[in-house]
Amino acid sequence: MRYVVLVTGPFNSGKSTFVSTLGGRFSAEASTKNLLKPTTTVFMDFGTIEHNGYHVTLFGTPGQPKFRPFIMGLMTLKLDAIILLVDCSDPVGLVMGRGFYQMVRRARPDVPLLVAANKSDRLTARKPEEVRKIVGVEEGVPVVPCVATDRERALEVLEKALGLLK
Amino acid sequence: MSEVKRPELEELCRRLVASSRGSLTSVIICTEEAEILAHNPVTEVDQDAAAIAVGNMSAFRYMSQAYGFKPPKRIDVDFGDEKLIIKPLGSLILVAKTSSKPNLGLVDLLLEQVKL
Repeated sequence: MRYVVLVTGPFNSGKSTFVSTLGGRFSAEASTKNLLKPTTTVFMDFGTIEHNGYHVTLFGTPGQPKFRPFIMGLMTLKLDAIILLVDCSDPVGLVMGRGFYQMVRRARPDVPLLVAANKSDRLTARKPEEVRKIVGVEEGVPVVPCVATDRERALEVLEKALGLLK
Repeated sequence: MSEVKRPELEELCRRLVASSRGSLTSVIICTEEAEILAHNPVTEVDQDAAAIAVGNMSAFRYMSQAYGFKPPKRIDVDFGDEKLIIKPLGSLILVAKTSSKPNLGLVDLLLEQVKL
């Protein structure tokens, strides 16, 4: 069984790390002057993973609005699920997540969506229910904690996203 | 549908590489989800090239809609001597890699003739 999953979210939410942890093949990045991180995705992240008999293709979008054609282009693919990553340890990241959430819902209301509250292992992390409120996630859309640097926890998120298809 | 066409697609890839007299080093045909359906040489599977083609094609299609242009007929990436050529084939995408200093006239002619 083959699935295509899009990983999206605002700048510095952990999309590239998530794709790379699960089975990243490449990330098209450029160096940035931003103090938050040394590089940023400018085109896409790409990864594949074989798991429980599934072959999952992962596309990661850039997070900065200036790369909108790539973000929106990848949104037009034939997708099975979308994972929206937000940095739940950063209030600014959560507010930016709100805009992303609305954009994803508008662009692809037909695709099952899961919101992953990334960096949930940090001291300042908000609980999923708080994330739901700040990001404005509707009741039918799950919000789950996520640690993109931890393969097991990233896999849990992917499994939950694929579980939406059953 | 793509399952039925696989042998034809394999033959198309083989024919393009063989007819190019060394100008094309590899040809891939993939879906819009980067699933490779056919490739030549058969020993080389370049998943990354397929993903790059899908990413570019989706972005340029989005741009063409946003600006009211026609959908892109071909995207050429120039790496100096070598080139990566991305061409939509209906719902599929053809990705061709050239050798260094290819005969571009021949490559253009071969790719213009490709139809499914």
